[in-house]
Amino acid sequence: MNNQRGFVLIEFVIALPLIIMLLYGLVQTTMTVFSTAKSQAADYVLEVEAQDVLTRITNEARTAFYVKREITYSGQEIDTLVIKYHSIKDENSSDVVDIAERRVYKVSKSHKLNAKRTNDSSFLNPITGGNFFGDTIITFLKYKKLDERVLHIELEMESLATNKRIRLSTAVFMPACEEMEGF
Amino acid sequence: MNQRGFMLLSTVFLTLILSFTAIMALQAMTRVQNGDQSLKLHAINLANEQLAMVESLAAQNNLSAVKNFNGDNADLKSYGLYNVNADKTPVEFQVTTHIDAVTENLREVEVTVTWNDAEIKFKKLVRIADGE
Repeated sequence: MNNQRGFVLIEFVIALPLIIMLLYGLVQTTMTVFSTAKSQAADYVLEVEAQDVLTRITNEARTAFYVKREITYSGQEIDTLVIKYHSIKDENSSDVVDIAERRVYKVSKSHKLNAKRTNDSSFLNPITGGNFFGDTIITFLKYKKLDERVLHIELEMESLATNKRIRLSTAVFMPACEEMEGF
Repeated sequence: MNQRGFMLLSTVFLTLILSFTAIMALQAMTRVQNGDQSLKLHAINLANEQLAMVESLAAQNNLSAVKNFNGDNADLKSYGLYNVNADKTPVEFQVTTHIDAVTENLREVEVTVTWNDAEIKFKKLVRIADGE
């Protein structure tokens, strides 16, 4: 006797809407999961890049004998910083290097921060932006003199992936600094 | 025999639902645990700001001018990571500075930054110009 049965119509009628609702829920959940993961990665990139910019600037300003603040573009809340410092003497080599290096931290029109080693017109060594997990831009970068040989840096960056912003401030003491210009 | 177990489809759906729930819970947990990170970053930079000021005052032989916080008072507030279009509430930071003598010319500076229920401490040796 053949006792095998398939679904009856009424079972399909009840099961189909339930399956559709379940699949809809799963799709929504999947989208939320991916969106949250993307947002978390972008937040992380924003924090890391903001701290990296501050660290790069403070590390080089620390050894400066001259710093100068310039207005980058009129009306923008972004300054340019020129740092001059002596490179380290290599006493063990016959090629003793004792020249003044020059670093210019300038934000290009695409709001990526560049650190030009020399004063030519091209942008070199970009240190922000272009991260696949969440591109960032600099929206605010100001320098001021806080005290004798103390440079205050205020930075704000925005993630293009999430429109979130972070604002960090710090200061660096420059023991060898002889001149602070433009403050 | 009329014994039946779960259908394969039921097991697949159940596994899917449970795994998605687990992923969401893990993500939420990461977010909660790491939510304070931007404020911690702010606190670290705030401590460095005060240490820079103390170094400068030490180089000027003027450590008596050291206060709890000698930096820019506007930096004592932070919004952490905030959305451009959302309302934001600032978090207040408190900074305290303590100086101990190590030798005639060396001082140990301890900077403590507190906010909400969190706290970080930084210690650094600074050299004063010619003794104070």
